[in-house]
Amino acid sequence: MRSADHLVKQMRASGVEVIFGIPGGANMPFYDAIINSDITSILVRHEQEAAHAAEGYAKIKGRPGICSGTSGPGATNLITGLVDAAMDSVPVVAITGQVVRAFMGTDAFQEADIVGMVLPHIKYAVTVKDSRRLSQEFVNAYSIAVCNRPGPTLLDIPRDVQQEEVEDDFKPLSPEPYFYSTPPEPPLDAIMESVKLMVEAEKPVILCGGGVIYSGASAEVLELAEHLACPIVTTTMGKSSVPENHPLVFGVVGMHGRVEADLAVTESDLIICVGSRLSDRAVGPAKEFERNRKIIHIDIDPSEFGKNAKPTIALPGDARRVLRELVEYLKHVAAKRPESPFVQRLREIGAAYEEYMLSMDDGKTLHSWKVVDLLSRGLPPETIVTTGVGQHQMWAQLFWKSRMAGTWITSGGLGTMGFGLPAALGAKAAAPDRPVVDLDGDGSFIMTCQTLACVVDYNLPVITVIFDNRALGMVRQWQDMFYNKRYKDVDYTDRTDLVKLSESFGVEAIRAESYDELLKAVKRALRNNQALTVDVPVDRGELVFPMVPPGRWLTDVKLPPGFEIGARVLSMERF
Amino acid sequence: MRLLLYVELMNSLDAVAKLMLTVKQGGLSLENISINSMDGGQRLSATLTLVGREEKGEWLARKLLNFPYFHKTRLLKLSEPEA
Repeated sequence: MRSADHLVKQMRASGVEVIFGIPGGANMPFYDAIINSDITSILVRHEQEAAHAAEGYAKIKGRPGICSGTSGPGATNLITGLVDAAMDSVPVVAITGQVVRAFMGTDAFQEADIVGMVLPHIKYAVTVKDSRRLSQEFVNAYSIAVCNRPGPTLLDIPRDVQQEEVEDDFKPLSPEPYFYSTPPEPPLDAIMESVKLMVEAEKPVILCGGGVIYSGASAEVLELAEHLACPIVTTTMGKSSVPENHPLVFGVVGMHGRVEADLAVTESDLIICVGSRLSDRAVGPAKEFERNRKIIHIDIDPSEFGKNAKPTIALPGDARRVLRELVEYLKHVAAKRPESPFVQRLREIGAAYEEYMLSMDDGKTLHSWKVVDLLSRGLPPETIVTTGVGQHQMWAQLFWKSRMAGTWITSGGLGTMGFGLPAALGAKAAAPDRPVVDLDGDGSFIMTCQTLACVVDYNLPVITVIFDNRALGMVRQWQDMFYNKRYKDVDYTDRTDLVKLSESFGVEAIRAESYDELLKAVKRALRNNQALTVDVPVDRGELVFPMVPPGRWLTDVKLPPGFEIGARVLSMERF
Repeated sequence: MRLLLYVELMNSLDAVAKLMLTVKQGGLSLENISINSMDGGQRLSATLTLVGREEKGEWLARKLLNFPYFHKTRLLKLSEPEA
């Protein structure tokens, strides 16, 4: 049998069901082998989509998503998605074709050193030159992609290696040593010391990152928070780790965080960080974050301890297991706390912000935040939301209320415009029975809009809501605030008709002129299980607030103009 | 701060390249490196003398173990920070 056939058999045995990609000269034997399997291959229109779709798929399935491209440009087009996956710790396995071994190093047609290019941003990448090793290398790459802290891997396979005959002795393989390891475990004294800090703290706060979702630690986070009666805030990647309708959950923290979430952090005397790398976007300058508070940092990747902020106590390990230990020990040494005035006040401030924003109505344009709020209230809790990158993403993180774990899929670390639609496609492939809605910007949408062709081809009906301000809104906002309104190359013309564009791919589309029309159309599409694109014209002048200027501490937050309780919000001494 | 990092790694040029790229990511500078084969050529051992912040050295020693290329790391401080 060809080694490509052996590989595909092994992939199926490992649980692979779907591959996103494009065939080409150097991965044709691989694609030929797929014909003989029950693996579904989804033909995307650009390899970047394949990588993002694999990310969306992986996020929902909890196992690696697979993407493929041919050698040269097919492989290099995958890079953005692979770096995105590395930044957000998403398990993705890329399989690329390579020129035949005899031509490698000769600048052959469509030759590129893809392994060399992805090395800085990948957990493992290898060019497989021995056909007898191919299936084993796949099992290794598949295993390490999801082992401990997930991330992308890549197998680069010369075409002649794929075609070479290998022994027909198929049996499922296991990963080799170093391609699988058990998570680290925290020392018992560190657990005990952490609980001591929790008991002593007056204003503890839990900060959840994406690691909480991977670990499946939602219940443990809630149990700890309820025992301490403390607020829970999340990072952008941690959104949907805990239900946002829970009374102790105060939303996303950071540069465009919820007022009450940022305030919870700045007022805290102890932060329990779970599965987060504590990026600058989430916690601002590390020195400020470390000042006047103790930090307990739980992470499966010990290299995160002290990378950005120095923890008082580091607890290496799987979040769920570590939290379980903490909760059990805490319950032995301290009674459940009653709700604090601090928490009550945060809730009041959050409600005031929401009321203020939702009461805005100029009677002319639709407001982005109100659109998000409307959809959040109108769509079922199992709805999976993806986003592009920009202002709409920030409105979505501020006003979408995730109610089920893992239902929020966004590009947090790399901030990749064009992520939303292909990620939605991948999520829909992973969960065909659940609603999948891409909340997108016009700038982001147009970068990967050809994904709509796959939405139709494979009957994966995702709903795309485009917040259409005819501009690169977030760049425009920065030019507005930090470059004296000197706008440069941020405004689009009105020539591109996004409704017609969508229809040209075979996806029904409308331009929503009212909130009512928008919600009705989306609900109808969900009821009929149909793809839909909704172009929502929004004001180009909208600015996303709250906003913490780059490099500044969370207390320097700029609140929405006219938000009356601003002064009181920033003065919480009495609590 | 001068730091000595000992690494046992897969015998592949990709592993060596990944090692250097991770040193670069850590913002450390390289004073000296010695790479030898071990276990009959199955693996390599690398000894690096690095200059930079101690915490970056610690980060590097831990970070490398996220990648299957690297099997063992040990970090040694060679000199105290200048007063």
